[in-house]
Amino acid sequence: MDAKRIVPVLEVLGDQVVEPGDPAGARGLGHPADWAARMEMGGADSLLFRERRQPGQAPQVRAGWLQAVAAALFIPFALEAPFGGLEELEAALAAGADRVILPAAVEPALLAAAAGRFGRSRVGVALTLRPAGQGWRVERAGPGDGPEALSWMAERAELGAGEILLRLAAPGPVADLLQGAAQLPLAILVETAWAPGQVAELLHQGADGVAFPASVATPAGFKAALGGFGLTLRG
Amino acid sequence: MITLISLPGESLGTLEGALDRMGYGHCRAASPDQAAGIGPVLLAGGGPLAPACASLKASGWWRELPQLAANGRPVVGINLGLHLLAEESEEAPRGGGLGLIPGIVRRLGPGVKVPHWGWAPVRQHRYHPLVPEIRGGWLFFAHSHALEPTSETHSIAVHGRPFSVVEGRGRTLGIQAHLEKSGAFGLGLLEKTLAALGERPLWLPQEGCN
Repeated sequence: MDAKRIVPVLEVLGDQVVEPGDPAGARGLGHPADWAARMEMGGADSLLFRERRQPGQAPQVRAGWLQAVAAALFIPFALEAPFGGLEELEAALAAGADRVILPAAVEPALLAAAAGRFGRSRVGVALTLRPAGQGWRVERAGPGDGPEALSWMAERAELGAGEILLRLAAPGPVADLLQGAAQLPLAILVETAWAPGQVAELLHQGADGVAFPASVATPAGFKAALGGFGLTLRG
Repeated sequence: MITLISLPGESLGTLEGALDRMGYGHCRAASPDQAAGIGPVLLAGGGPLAPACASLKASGWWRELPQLAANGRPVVGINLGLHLLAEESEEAPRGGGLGLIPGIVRRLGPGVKVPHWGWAPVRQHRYHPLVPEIRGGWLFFAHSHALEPTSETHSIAVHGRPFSVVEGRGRTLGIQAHLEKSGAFGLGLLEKTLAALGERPLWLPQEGCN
């Protein structure tokens, strides 16, 4: 059985890691490659970089830090960013990202084309869910309910997504959601800052891994906190 | 000097970073004329099989690799590289394979998530003189297809069913796991394997790339 993945999330602005709560990214915390090496040493199973694009940022900025991370990190890593097209995705993968995470609003045609060209294992989609009655719906901008979560995820799997990065906007009944999602042919990574007991429940219900802000805990500390819940974790 | 076959769109950054850390010299070779005169030839990738196959044929590597293997030159396929070294793959049934490692690469499943993207425990199945002994450990996998193990298979992991992790036939090796993405354990296996294939650290005299 595969180990449940413990995945620190690092937000990047320009070529600096920044605090998630620092919208302007005023204070750089260091180069992503330095953070990556530190997270690997700390027991991470993979990393998720979330890019906050600077207005007018040159493509070379992203390529530069991705290449530096690839050369210094010996576990897989994904990049979540507001990708605009196939060429941009290809450049991120060629620079060293193992997986690209597209936004929920990605055009189905782009998702299908990306999966076809790069392989399903290299393409994921992020989405935020809100509880609605006994189920969950995809959060979207504007009025009205978003689509029902499980059928939306099934459609994305059909289009070629190899992973769903799932954010739960509010507490709700996760058992049916995750057990249903676990039947789909894609990995489920849940991003949360919940307490260890709740995270263990997510993993037991079918999530393949959990992502959390790197500023919240060390990967080893996170694994230690999950140690008493009967999960398969990589030591 | 290690030759890294360069496939379009594939990043070799982590593999090169790993080799740098080990002190091994390396060069990229999009075509055989760019290869080093001696040393292992590594074929690594993770994308779809058919374009990689077409690229190898266009660059001349498809004809060159069997000749190198026949002459005793170490050839190592990692992930997609293993699939290309095998006889055939269900991913591209008419694309063929190089046939340097026996067996047909088959799709994983049914009953499990495909693609398989994660860390799986590995166990050794059979001794091979060029592959270090594995006494348990976790390796990282990112694949939808795999070679079915045989009595010759060096090591095995399970995703729904057992699949081959390391296949060795003489000095040709196929490795399903991304050793370069498998932390200290994977890097250790890669380093020892390259050493067993005769690779020498950079501080010793090298023969450069062409």
